Amino acid sequence: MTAIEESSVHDEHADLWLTEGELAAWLSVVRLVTRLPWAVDSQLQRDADLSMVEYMTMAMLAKEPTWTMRMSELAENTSTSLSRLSHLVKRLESRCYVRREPDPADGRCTNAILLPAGMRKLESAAPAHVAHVRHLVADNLSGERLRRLGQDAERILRHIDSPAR
Amino acid sequence: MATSEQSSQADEHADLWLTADELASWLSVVRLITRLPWAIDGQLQRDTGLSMVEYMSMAMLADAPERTMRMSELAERASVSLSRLSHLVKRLESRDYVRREPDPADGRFTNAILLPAGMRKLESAAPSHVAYVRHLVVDNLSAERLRRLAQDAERILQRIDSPAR
Repeated sequence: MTAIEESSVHDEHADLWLTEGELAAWLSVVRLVTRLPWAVDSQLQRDADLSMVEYMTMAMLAKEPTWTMRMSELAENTSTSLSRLSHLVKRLESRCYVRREPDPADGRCTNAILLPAGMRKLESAAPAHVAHVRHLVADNLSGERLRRLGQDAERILRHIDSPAR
Repeated sequence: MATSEQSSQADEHADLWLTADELASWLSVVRLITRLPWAIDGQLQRDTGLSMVEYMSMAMLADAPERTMRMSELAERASVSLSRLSHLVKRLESRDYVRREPDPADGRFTNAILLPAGMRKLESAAPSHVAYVRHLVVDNLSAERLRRLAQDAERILQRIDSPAR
């Protein structure tokens, strides 16, 4: 009786509510996306006096051949709004890690450029950050699980990026 | 030559740096933990005027016996600091969704209690929120992948919660 009742309730609300198993899984995902940024940020703040997004911003500039990227592209790549990025880059400028200049090819755009002091800061911050990421994620999951986790993340991100809801 | 150079470099730094595959997976995870809270928060704010953590707090109270929970326990479960939770509950109090009172069993503790207006708000907010969670995550991944994703999340959370690094 209970099983039938439960299954009819489930049918009726199948689209509206999460099953117990789905809810438990979703709450694990919520805890992950809440706590992991906090954990990564705390280590960087404590050991390098950088926030996670400051570190990511500088790391992305460091990977460019001329340590230079348009602000709009950098905002896109770090998933931050342009206004938040401007604010953040201003702080990095005040510490001589980064400077900004109009794009020589198109003066309407602004470029961010990593400076030598920023590169040194990044190099000194990287080992402890990478060790922390290894401890929490990369060495904690098998290679196969990590690869699947990355794929699942991309699958979810595609739905976030698509305008349709 | 290039390969052997690369591999000796990789050996030397094996503990220090991420391989290209590990880095790609980690950056997908970073994008997920950056963008998923933003997307969920955006839908809730736009459609219901609630933030994700306000919604989660009220949903946790709704599931608790007598719709009541100690503030310290609620902070723990919602992964927020007690001071941030106090601030947030104050805002919910001003909208008559929640009230606070000293725990009758132990006056040193404060309880948060979901009020009828809060329950109605939650009920009206839930369908669009759940539909969005289904769209992004639950219906987007197979049941098996969702289950594995949650297991990976819990595995990472255990390391975040354990004090040893």
